[in-house]
Amino acid sequence: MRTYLVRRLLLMIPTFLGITLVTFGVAHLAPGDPLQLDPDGPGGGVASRAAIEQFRHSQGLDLPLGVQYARWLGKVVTLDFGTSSQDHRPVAQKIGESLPKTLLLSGLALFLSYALAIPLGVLSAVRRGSWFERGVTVGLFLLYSMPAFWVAVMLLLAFARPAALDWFPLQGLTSDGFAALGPFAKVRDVAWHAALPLVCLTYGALASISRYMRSGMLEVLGQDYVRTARAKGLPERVVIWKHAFRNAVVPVITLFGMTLPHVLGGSVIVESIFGINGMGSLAFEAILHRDYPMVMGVTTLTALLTMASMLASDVVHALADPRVGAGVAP
Amino acid sequence: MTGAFLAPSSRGRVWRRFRKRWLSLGALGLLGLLFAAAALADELASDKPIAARVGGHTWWLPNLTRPLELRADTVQTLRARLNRDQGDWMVEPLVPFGPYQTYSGQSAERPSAPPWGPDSDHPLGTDEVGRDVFARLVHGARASLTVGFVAVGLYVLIGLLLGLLAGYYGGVLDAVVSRVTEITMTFPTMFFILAVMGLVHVKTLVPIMLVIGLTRWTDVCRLVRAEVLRLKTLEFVQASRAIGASDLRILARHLVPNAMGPVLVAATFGIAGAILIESSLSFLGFGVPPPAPSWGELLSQANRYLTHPGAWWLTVYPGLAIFATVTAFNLVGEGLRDALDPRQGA
Repeated sequence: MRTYLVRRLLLMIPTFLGITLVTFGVAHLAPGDPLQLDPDGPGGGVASRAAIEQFRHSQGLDLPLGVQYARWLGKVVTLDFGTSSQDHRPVAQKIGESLPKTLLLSGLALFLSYALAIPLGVLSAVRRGSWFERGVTVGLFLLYSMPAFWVAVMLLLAFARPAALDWFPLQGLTSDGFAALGPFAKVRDVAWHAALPLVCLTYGALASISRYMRSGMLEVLGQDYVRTARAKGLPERVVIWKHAFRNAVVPVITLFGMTLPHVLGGSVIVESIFGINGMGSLAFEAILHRDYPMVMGVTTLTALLTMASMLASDVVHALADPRVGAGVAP
Repeated sequence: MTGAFLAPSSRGRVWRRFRKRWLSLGALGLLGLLFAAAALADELASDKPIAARVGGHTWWLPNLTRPLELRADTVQTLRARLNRDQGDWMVEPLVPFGPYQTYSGQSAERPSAPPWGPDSDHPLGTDEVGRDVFARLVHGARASLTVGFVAVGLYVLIGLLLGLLAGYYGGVLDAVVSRVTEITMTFPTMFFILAVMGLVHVKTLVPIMLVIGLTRWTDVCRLVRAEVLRLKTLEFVQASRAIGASDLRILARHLVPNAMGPVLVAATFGIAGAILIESSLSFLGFGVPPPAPSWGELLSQANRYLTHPGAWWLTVYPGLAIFATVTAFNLVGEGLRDALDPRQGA
């Protein structure tokens, strides 16, 4: 187990380097730089050549790419991502402000999708062929094909307009007078604002997780030891939840490593529609303004989060299935 | 189309099994309709007639050829010039508006600014500058389908090649490919695609297809690699090696056809995914370059007109178009998977 863990951790280093290298390459080889876009910046309007050169020099933009990358990487190790070229505030600070909102939404979305998907998947496997199962399967299949931005706009159209049902707020994660609210009122306010975005972030993961759960259960239910458990007279409840479910749920749990990047990616659209200033909006704004330090900071951090969640799910898998840790299965 | 890649012995069997799933068969029919609509977009919605005789001049397919003499004319102006007593006639497209044409009808009938709701002129309404939604949808189907097929074609090629090499030769090659696969999988795809699309300014569909193709090949690669690892130990591969077949021949004649089944399933689901990515990017303003029509772009207008006046037709119709297309591709993928699965009975 320990050698497995060490090997996994060591393998993360080249992965991390690869990701940062590609991101760096894309950000720096792309045509155009922040100087060409910012009309109030040193490159905008009537700025002299000398001023531009001076700015480039102060930002280290005139150095060879390799040197720039090495410098950037050296700072990243100390969590210094440089300053945003939009408002000259430290990237780390801006990320620190928006990350909690995105983590709150993504975490809740992941939790909700698991909490709903596992019982749905198990039940639809156990009641195979019933109307319940058919309804759930068709419903989830349709959910799976719905674009999140469509659902988001439809929800807003139906539930957040004075002209229709005015149940939920249109924008943001908190009301105007949020700071003055008491602790319970604060939780209520955030929940009220987060409800529609959460629906959009949850249903996609819900659909795919419960499909995995269902097929995993179906496979396990067909195996000999389940038949044996039934044959020796165990109650059906015990057969399903103690024998079958425990084996079927492990691969589903480890799915969260693959689901998190999807939820984080989905946050770009959901946050921009619902006007939530989290990581997704931050990335979107940074790309719009060609804010390289910001783009790289967000991408690097998201990649780190993804790698951490993949590692965690692999460790869970190894703990639950001794063959993995021993190096039998990949 | 798909059958051409499969081993000849299994083609008929796969089709017979696929045919039994009426839902997937229906989805295939829907996709056929969609292709027809995309191919005939200029006959379904155009600002020029399909054929017309006006003032002694006869034009065939001016909607496609766009002759210079008619460049200032639209179906509407030709209607006014049409003199039926002199033997003039005109075959109009289903909806007489092109995807770029802004309607300039009588202002008395349309007091407010666009978007206008569905009426007899515009069956699905117009967008924010008065362009016909139906025309934008039909012409936008081309962009969606092109992006879907080209991007997936590209990543199937990449995944197939890397998967074959890694699975067949193993060793260092396998280690390198596995690492690159893992790096690509760990990438925050949506951020990355957005970053590339935001930084590269090309006014075509090429970057969007390239960037989807270059980031989404990992599933195909892993599938092919696993399948090749399994196949290459089987007797028929050993036998062909024993009679002196070259690596290339074994790969092309034995491994590719046998590994193709799961790849086709993944590709069908992948087209649905690529269409979703394309429409998301267009929704955010980073996809199909304006003013070209695309489904995601129409939906982004819907988002802008949410509160006032609540232009539901800009939400419902493009959304349904994306949803129906993605569902159809997913259903065909499901049907194909079941038909290819050997466990479903010999």
